[in-house]
Amino acid sequence: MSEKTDNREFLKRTTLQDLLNQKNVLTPLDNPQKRENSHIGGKNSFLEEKTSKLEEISLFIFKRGVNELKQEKYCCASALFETLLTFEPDHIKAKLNLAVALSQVGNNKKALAILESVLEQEPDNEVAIQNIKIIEESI
Amino acid sequence: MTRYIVFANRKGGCGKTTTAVNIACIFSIKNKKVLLVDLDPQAHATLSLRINPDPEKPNIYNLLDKKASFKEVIQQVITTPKINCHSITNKNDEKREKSRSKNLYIIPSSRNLSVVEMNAPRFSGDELYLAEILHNNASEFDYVIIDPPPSVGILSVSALVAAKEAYIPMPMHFLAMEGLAEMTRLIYQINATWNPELKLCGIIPTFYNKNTRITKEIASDIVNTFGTGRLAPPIRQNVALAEAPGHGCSIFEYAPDSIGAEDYETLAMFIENNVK
Repeated sequence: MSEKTDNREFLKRTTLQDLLNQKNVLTPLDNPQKRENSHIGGKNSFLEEKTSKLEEISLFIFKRGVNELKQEKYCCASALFETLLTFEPDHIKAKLNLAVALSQVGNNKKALAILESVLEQEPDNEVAIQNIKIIEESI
Repeated sequence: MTRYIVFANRKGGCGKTTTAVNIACIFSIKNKKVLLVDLDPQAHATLSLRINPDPEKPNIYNLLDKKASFKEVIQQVITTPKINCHSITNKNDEKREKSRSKNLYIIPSSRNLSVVEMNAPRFSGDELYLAEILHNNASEFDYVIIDPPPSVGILSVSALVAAKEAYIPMPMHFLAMEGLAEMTRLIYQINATWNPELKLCGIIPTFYNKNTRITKEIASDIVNTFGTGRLAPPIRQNVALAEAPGHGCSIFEYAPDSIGAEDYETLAMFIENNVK
């Protein structure tokens, strides 16, 4: 019986979605169909969610971003912080972490622009000031 | 507005260069001003248009090495179809004459471009350089078409950073599908870190044979995963497409009545209208 099951598993075709899952590409890039479904489709519109739910999601994304950053997965981390900033464009910690992730992959120009936007919000933010110095010295 | 298009796939032999050259040619025939950027050290796009990839002449390497300016490296492509090639018949002559165009320009490649790949320190920030040059200088063109090498290195990443639309040519095989998943991951990463404007606009089935089961399965996978709009019109297997580069011309000059020419014309229409 178990042999039969194994054979069936062996014969099962690997799909494109399986391959994307293996590579942790959870949602294909810019898939309008899926976006429409998740944001507009259904009666419980995304925009009508309670604020507390949004905060919960933001915190979840932020923690995941920090986790990816700690594991030195800079591309994944920056994608998560970028996503968070679309929810909360003024999230300073997300901006600071995004700048770290971007500078780690060499995109210093964008990292500096983000840190400068932090200083526009909080002119005395020491982390931003210090990181700008570090990046400018490294260029 | 200039459209920046890359035909990318890290898998070799999937029809990237053939697609880039023929799409560049058909757009130029349609009176669009086109710049083809050959970023592959193999210089196959350059060779396909009968240009000698001479390292001594200004080429993409000199541009990336900051030893030549944008204007110094671009060359106008003068198409001169070979008269005695086997598929030329009288009825094709009129079409062939129409396919001569003065709107096609190329930044040729040369073998010394491989030095860029070998010497590039990883994560140096040089990935943005090509994008800066093209975005600052190529606004006079309607289309900038980039042909990257079949690898994931600084040249391919530079191409994806410079482009705004990515198309992935792929034969309908399982291993090519793995390549597609990998390219999707790479595009996702570059979109998140370097180029938020980059979009995966289409998957182009190449060497297409509609009668095989695997072709149907993979096409259905693509539609289920990315949506119907992402599956571009296929390019059927056609020997004239393989022969044309040897004669230094596009399929529209070499065999304008072939199914290859027909398929690339359909694909060009898809790309032209695929503006979101």
